[in-house]
This record gives sequence, structure tokens and C-alpha cells, in this order.
Amino acid sequence: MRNDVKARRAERRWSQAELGERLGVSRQTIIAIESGKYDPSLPLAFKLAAVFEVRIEDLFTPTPTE
Amino acid sequence: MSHTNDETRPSSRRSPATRYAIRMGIGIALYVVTLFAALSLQSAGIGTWQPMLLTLPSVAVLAWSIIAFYRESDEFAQRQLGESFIIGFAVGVPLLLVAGLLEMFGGPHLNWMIAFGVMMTGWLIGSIVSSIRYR
Repeated sequence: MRNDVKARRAERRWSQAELGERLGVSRQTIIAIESGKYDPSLPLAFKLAAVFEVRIEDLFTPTPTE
Repeated sequence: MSHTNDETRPSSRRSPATRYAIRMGIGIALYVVTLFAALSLQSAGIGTWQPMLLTLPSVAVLAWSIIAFYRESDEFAQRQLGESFIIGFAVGVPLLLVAGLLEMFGGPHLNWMIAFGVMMTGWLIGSIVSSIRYR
């Protein structure tokens, strides 16, 4: 799963720790999501979309194999 | 739809890892105190193995500290913890089984304490593997 979390966070000039605080998760979790090493759960993905005020499908894109 | 277990997270600003360290420290301190109390009772001639039952509450505290750490962590930390437990279990249990079978068929007798070392080493290996995987 690809995602635009890093780009959208950069647009808002939020640090990884700041985004993590808004979502109630650790900075390590944000790092893992941004690097694509970890796909968040559906509730966290919805929360990410809400924080960035976008639809979930605008934030996450399935890779061809998924 | 909660993903961070907010309902179980205390109001403390301490991180789950810090709370885990505090709880584990309390459990270890309780174990040491009750162990010395049990040894004192034994040397006073009160019971043989029975005084060692005094240490059981500390075991419950140690187990609770690990379970609470898992429950209070966010979903990514839970994933990593879960993977490290699974790897530790998958490494440790077959090793102990092989050691037990060897002993049954003439192998050397090993102290029970070795099981603790094997399981903890398995957990450590699992933690390292999991952290490398998500680096």
C-alpha cells in the first residue's frame, strides 16, 4: 500500500511527533507508515484521513499486487 | 473504533515503555523481598518448599507488567511486540522440547532455570528481528 502521509504532513509543516500526538500514536508508528513498512489499521487510516481532511482513498493507494 | 486502546490508557503522560519499566521494577523488587523472606522462613525451619509460595504474587505483577505494556501500546508497537513474542516462542519451545527429549534418552540433565534463559533469548532475538524488519 502506498500513501501520501509524508507529503501531506510536510504541506502542513507538522513534525512526525506532532502528527503522532494528533493521532494518539508514537513517532515510530508515523515513521513506519510513511516509509511504507507498516500499513495502518482501518480505524487509524480513517483517523489519518480525517486529520488531513481528505478521503481515505486519496491518502492510500493499493500497489498493483494488492 | 479505537486503535490506540485509549480506553485502557491511564491519564499519565508517561510512555507505555516507562510505565512497563516501573511496573517490572516493582515486580522484581517484590520478588527479591519475598524470596529473602521465604529463605529466612526456611532457615528458621518453617516448611521446606512452602515458603517459596510467598514469591507467587510477584510473578503475577511481572506478568501483568508485560500484558499491560502490550495493551497500552499503540497498534504498531503491538505488532512489533506480538511478532517478537511469536518468534521467541517459535525459537524457545522447540529448543526446550529437544533438550527434554535428549534428557529422556540419556542426555545431560539441565536445570529448569535454563528454560528461562532460552525463552528470554528467544524473545530478544524476536525483538531484534522485528525492529530490523520495520527499520
